[in-house]
Amino acid sequence: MPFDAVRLADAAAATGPDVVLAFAADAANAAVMRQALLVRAVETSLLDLFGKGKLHGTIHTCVGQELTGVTIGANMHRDDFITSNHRCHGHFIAATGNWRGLIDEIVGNVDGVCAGIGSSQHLYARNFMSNGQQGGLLPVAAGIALDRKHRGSDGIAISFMGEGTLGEGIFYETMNVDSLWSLPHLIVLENNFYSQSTPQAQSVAGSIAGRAAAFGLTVRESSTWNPAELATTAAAAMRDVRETGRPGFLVVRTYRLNPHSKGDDSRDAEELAWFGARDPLNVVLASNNAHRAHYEDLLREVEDHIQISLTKPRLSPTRYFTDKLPRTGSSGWTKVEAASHDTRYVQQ
Amino acid sequence: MQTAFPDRALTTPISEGAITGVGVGLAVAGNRPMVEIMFGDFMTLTVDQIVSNAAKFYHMYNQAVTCPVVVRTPMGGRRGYGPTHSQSLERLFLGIDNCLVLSPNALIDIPRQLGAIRRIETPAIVFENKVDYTMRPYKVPEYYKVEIGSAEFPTVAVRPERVEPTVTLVSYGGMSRILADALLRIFEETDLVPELIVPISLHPIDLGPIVESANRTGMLLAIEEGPTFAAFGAEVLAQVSEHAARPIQLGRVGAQPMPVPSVPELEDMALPSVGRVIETLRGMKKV
Amino acid sequence: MAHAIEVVVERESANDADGTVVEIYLQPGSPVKKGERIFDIETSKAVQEIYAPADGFLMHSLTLGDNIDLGGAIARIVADLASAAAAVATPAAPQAGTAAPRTGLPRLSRDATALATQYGLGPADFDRDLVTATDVRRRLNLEPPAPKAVQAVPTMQAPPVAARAPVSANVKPVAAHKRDEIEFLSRGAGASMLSVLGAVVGYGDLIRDGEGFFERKIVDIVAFEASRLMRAHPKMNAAWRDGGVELHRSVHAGVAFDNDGRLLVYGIEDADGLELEDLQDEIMEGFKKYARNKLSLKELTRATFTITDLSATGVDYVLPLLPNGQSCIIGIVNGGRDGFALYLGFDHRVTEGLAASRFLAALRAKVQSAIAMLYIQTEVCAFCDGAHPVGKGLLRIAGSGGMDVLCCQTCWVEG
Repeated sequence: MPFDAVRLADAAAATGPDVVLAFAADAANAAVMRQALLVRAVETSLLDLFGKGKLHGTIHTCVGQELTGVTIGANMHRDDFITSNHRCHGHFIAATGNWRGLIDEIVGNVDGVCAGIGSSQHLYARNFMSNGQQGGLLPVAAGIALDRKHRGSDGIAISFMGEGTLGEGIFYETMNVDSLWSLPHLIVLENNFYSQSTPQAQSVAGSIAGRAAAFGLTVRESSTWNPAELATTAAAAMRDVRETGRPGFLVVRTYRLNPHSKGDDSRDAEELAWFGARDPLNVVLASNNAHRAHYEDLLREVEDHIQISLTKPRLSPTRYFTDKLPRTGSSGWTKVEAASHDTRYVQQ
Repeated sequence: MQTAFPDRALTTPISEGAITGVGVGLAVAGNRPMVEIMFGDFMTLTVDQIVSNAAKFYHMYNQAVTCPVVVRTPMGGRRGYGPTHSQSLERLFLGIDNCLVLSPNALIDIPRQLGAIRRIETPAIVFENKVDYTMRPYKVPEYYKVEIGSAEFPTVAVRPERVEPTVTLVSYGGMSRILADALLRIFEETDLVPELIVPISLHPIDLGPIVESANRTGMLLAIEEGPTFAAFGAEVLAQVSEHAARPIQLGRVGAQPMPVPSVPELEDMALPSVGRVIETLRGMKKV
Repeated sequence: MAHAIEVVVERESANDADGTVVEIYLQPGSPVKKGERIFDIETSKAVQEIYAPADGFLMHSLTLGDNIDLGGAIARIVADLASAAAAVATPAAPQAGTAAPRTGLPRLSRDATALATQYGLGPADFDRDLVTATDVRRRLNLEPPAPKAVQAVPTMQAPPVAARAPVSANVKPVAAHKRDEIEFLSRGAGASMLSVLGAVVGYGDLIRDGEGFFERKIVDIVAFEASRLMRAHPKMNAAWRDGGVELHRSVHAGVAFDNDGRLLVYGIEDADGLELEDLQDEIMEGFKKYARNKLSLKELTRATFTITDLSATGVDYVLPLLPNGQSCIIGIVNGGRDGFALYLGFDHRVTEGLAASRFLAALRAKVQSAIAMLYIQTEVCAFCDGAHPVGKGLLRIAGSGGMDVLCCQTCWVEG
């Protein structure tokens, strides 16, 4: 087993299947488990559809990472807002529950959440937006947090990012602003140890948690291999931000079982198998009959919707090709006085 | 402003990208934020926020959200500030879908020029010119008058009061005031009667007044403070040749395509001047 | 001026290029001691107190609220008032805008000034604001009037200098029915008061042997005959002015020269009194002056009617445009085989079509007979005795005895 995988294995091995199964069996966690399985069912079906050549473009799935998004989603308030990145399906379903709109979007029909224009990476809802660049929405979330703060709302902004985004300067600019202005902004870093195919050892120096701590953000760490601990930590992180109005940073260690996008995986096969066997949802589906039965129902439900989705019409071009720019075209002239005010002003 | 609105005028760290992004977020949340970048040269650090976020949201999210963030910044040289504080980078920001680019001038009062900015539904970049901050009220040359068009962000025209113009000058921002002050000199030295057309909206272009004037004069010179390659003047020339009613003699004047030096003599040579405009017009006349 | 000391306001910050005069302690001409406070200048940063740099008399032209350039002189201190009288205190350069003092006079471009000066014109001779070289040429009738759109500008309607005498008793108002007609015509599609008639002058192949400049022209004959006809047709030698008809007292024939683009009309004074040879000399003289650019303003503007000769250009039609202050212009073009055509442009407000056609008919007859009397010359074929115009159709061949003889083409072909 390569060095990186051994190192990651240590992290995953700290917990065992018993911890996961205990969490899944607790009725209090049923909603989270069902939501996680829904995300998996949707993404598995989409991958299948992609394999059949029915999808245009590409998709980035979060298979293996589902628990992060749904755990955060379970603690959202109405005025909270999520910004996400390219790997956003799970976050979107967690925030909105609108998995049918997501499938329609990716299939590319007019009922998609953005009518098929954005597809996989560019989703929008009342409390959610995702975009395709790295870290680009972090300051936007800070702006939304500033809006919530000004309006005295209890809403907070939550940003999902991957550890690959640690290379972007905007992340550090945003943390600085968050901290300086005391913004209710929680940044959730999903650390899956690979930036597309680049192992973390080759892209991140020093300490991840230390970076955020240096800006004065409250830092918490957890992993998807211990769902109970993740639930507690995420809830605490969100509550903290909500109550103190100060920014927070939550690092969630996790593992992506599928390639970054499609067909761009150079990871060790043995490593993949090792993590596949320890994946919390795989563990639950192997041993928890109730959840497995539910999952099979979900797969059928998703399949039914995909069949409907494939028959829906595309967006009309006349709807798309319009803009909001002010109208030009001077049709008449009015004689005016020249500038009457001194425009001189003092530049500091 | 900060004294009057302590919670609405914020002191920011030097983080052009982040504060532009914060503006985008505020706009998405239903506010009308204005972001100020102290030197236009550093607009380069805002590009991801403007191109991939603010401008894109409207179409990308199927018209579900608008993002009326205003980013204002001063451009231009003639102050000896040197290569990274004297540029005119407008051309890098022209033609971004759904992104309004405005450039006010020192010819008429600012509320007349930018009043509509409170009503827009798109992001807007407002390129000011740092030299305009030091301008006294504009005195219209004898025989000339100032008019404005009827567009939402109007075009300003400085045109002869009673005679027909024989050449159309198109310019904007700081350069337009320099030309507006020199109309009589240009007339005297070129034997052409200039009419100055100054759009405030650079994108989209208010083409009507420009073509209208070019159709009358048959000769058009576009002058801008930045380099001419793939810039505003180039777009004006292209659109005029597409839409004019007759062949128009076309020309451009802009900065040398090198960094703006601080040495005063070199800076003068690098940036377009009235002398260069006159020289170019004389050359065009000979053709 | 050698004793004048400049009062300079220093520029203290990069952001201020100018300041405002907020206090003036001493009026121009006041005696001043070194170190005495003379002005307060406000900039964006602070108010600068300006002190006298020397003893003497303070000279300035500032008033409160004036903007001044920082780093430049705003006033001077002179040693004595005698030199002060000569010294004009340096005011802040009037660089706010380029607002030149409102003169009310037209402003001429550099090219326009050069051209106007050449012809003795000044700003007062123009009624428009901004005068280009083209405007000067139009003013001198050296260029056709501006196109319609431009003519819409009312100040463009300047009459030529020669005809610009104050409205005199010479001007006879037209009758009411004529006014109605003018009004009616002005609403027509052409909206022009110009009317044109044409007539062909035929005379066989004309060669004016030995005439040089006039070898293939009839411009001199037309000028000669037309000038004389003016006595009987006064309305062709007139002008429309101020709603009435002004008959010119003299007949000055204008001959248009156009040597590749530079069109001038040279007025031949009292042409109706000149013999043909004199008139030819005048035309030649005018052309030489034209070629040397030596025509005086008077010569260029005194014409009372105009002849424009385009017969050398190969065109066979012209719609001659009336110069201002005239009611008649005659264009000469090729009139098809063996002839010329005359086109008469006339001001329909001044004269009627029938009267104009009578004038043209008379002119054609006169020209025709002049040609017949004066110029048709023939040579004879040595073989068939047939007469041919000189230089046409005859070949110079070596005859018997080594002498050159002329032979017509028919005889040549038939051998």
